[in-house]
Amino acid sequence: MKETINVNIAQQAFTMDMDAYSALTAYLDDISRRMPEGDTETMADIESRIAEIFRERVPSPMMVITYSVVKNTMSQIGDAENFGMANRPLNDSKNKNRGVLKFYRSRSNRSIAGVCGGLSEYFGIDATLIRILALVCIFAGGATLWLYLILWLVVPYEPKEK
Amino acid sequence: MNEDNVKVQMRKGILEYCILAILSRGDSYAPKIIAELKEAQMIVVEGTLYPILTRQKNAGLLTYRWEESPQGPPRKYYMLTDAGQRQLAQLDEAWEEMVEQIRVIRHGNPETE
Repeated sequence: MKETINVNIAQQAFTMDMDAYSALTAYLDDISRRMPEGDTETMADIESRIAEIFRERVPSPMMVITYSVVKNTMSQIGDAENFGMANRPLNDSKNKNRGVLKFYRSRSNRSIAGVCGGLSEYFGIDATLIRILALVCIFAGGATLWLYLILWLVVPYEPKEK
Repeated sequence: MNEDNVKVQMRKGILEYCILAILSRGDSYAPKIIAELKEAQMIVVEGTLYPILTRQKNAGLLTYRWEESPQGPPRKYYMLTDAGQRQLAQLDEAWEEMVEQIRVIRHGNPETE
């Protein structure tokens, strides 16, 4: 049994295996970094071509897009290197291109439970700034401390890196 | 530099010209242009075409319209603009010239020999 995810590529719905999804996301991120700044049009064209290839290879919408379909599609489109040199760092496009960015407690960026680190990764704000704000709010009284404890309890740790 | 690499570089140089030439024979959409270029062994992978199309469109050489397709979502049909036609005519000339010059380089100029 495998975990799948529903995605929208060029206004078409696809069900993808998780590994297929992360491979495709990384690939698209990599290409978009090599495009001129603000060129969303070419990315949209490439995405609609990918959707078209997926439909050709997996005609039934009931069937899941597997990693091997994604791999073959990527080799048909070509390595990201074909799109020139990267002109932006990878994490630049991270927040806006991720279809689903989940809120986790951070493993790498934590002083107590990773709540502030997680918030910082989710919103793309500096973690220190969030910590200072949190401390100020806690000392000002109110529900902030409780909020922190609740987030600690409810929010899961981010998955371990593979 | 091995010979494959030289060939790749040569093709890259004339790819934009080829796209204009294909569109001069009739409006077309990306997968069809790709199929023609693949058949002529001008490209191996598909993705490289898309940035060029966007660039040519932004340069005013091409424009596109959306057209319903029998299966799937609407397609982007590209067509040459007047500027594209002029560019193509210039490139046609440049190509003829280059072929002639290469011929002279390969076989020597009969007039000076």
